[in-house]
Amino acid sequence: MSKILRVENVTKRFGGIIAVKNVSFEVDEKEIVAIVGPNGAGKTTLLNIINGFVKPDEGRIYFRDRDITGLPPYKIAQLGISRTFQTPRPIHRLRTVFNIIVPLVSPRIKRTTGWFGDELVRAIDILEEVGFERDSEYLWKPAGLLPHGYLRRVELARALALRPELILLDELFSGLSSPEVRSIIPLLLKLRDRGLTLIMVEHRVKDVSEIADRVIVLHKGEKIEEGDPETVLKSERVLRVYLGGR
Amino acid sequence: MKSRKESNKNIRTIRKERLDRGARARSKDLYVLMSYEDIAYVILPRVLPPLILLAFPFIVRDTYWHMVFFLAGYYAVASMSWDLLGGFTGLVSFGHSLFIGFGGYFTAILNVWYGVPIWLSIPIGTLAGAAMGTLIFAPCLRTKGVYFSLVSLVAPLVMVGSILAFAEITGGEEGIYGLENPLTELQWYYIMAGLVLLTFLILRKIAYSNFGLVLQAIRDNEPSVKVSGINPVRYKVTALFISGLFASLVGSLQAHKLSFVGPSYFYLSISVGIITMSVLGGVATIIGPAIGAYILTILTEWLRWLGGLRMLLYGVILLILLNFKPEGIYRYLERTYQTFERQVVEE
Ligand SMILES: Nc1ncnc2c1ncn2[C@@H]1O[C@H](COP(=O)(O)OP(=O)(O)O)[C@@H](O)[C@H]1O
Ligand SMILES: [Mg+2]
Repeated sequence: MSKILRVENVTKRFGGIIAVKNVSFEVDEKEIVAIVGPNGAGKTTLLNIINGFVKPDEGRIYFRDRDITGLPPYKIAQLGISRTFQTPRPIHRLRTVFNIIVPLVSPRIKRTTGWFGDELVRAIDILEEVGFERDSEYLWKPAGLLPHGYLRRVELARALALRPELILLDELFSGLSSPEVRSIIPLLLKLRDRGLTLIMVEHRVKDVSEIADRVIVLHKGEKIEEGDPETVLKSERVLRVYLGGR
Repeated sequence: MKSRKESNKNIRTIRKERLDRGARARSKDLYVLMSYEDIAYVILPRVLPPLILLAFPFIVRDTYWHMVFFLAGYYAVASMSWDLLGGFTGLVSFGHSLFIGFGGYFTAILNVWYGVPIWLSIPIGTLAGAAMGTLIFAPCLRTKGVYFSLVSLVAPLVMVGSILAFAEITGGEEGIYGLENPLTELQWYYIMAGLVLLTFLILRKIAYSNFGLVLQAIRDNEPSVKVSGINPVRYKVTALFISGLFASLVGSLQAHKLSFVGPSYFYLSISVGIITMSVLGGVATIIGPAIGAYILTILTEWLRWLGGLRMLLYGVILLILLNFKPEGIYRYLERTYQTFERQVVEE
């Protein structure tokens, strides 16, 4: 099967800190890959490198065999990679539905769907998909006023609105109650069935063991383990990081 | 932009179900019209101000006040166009006079040096002015908004310097005299009044289109715009050019009306005036800055004896506003008008 994403020997230093150290991995189409690791392991930096916010010092990123290293973030997004942020960043003063219209205005939407319909209806459809009621008051409130759990869903809706092929989720579950997490998991599986590829960043292996096909463990910027959730959970090295490290 | 109309229709249908549940409070563009009183309530604030503007020369016949209102209109157009940048896009310009000056100078050079007739010198001068200003600002749009503000502060000063340095083309300190002015004060009044109304309609349309939505998103959260597959720089450049068109046009009209351009077109006091008016009227509302412009221009006329202290007055007003009433006059009026309505409806 062809690889949708290839990360090759990527390294990023911030001054003296090596945030990501010679990391390589590949992602298959329709795969759910989890990247886990303690705080400061370099997970967010790795996502920032993939989506173009951060330029790596060494290494290359290939999306469908196309070298995207160093492309500006909006171009990478237009190619079909969208993401959510660890701290939800809504467009505070815009109403929630209008938050979702922004990606719908992107040239990618016109190019991929040739669609000139009603952005507003489309935005509401997407928000409904991530768990908003169609007639919810929240849809018309400034997004900055929504409770935290809803903001995560707005993030996800914004990322989905771009009709991505690959979606990067930075700690989507953090700060959510376990019922909330359980309500999102079926949605993520549905997205995968629809043909999307997911890279999820989370803190611990057990957060993602239910849903991930494969887990990559980062520690101090280095990839220390990779495999299916059960194997990784039993790995000596991983246990040492989580038990010994903190 | 076309589909926005469609969208609005849909907002209405979606919200119609909720009329009985007090949808009035949720949306400012939704009304339940049940009586002539209701209709008057909705229509009057939209129709009365333009009517007053158009009837003003018949109410007050003193040409002096027609000239004051021309100046107020000049500031209203400039401030509304500033609002598209400062209010909606988060590009706070301290040098909007750059566009006014460029518009004025290009128009003057075309009309006086090259004999281009007024009906061509105004549109070409306006386009050239907007393009020139955009070219100067464009390189600093990639970086944070602060750099734009700094460049906007410095650029008009540099222009004044260049005008003095290249006096053979620009007329130096004396400026350029003798632009064609075939119109009467009353005709100028109506041109400006029409331009104010047109500017308001166009800029509001733009500000509340999908394009304007993206501008607001850039203002509030640029990274999220980038990950949405949108190139913020392209949007900022476009906003800059559109905004510049209106400011440049105003400079161009002023040049013909006064038959003169000079370095004063670029002065900081004009830019500070524009900002003060915008903040006074209410930023990110389009109409607010126009209201601020009329109030402050008329106030300035009454306080003419202050002379050079006008800048100080603007500065003090700005400081007071930013500290105590940053929402501005328009939002305040709007809120008051809405509470007024609620009492009427409850009867
Ligand atoms: N922009 C930055 N400037 C300096 N250091 C950074 C920057 N971004 C991340 N770092 C550092 O890189 C390391 C990895 O951070 P991060 O990728 O956020 O980790 P994680 O997401 O796994 O918690 C941390 O030590 C962090 O302090
Ligand atoms: Mg992180």
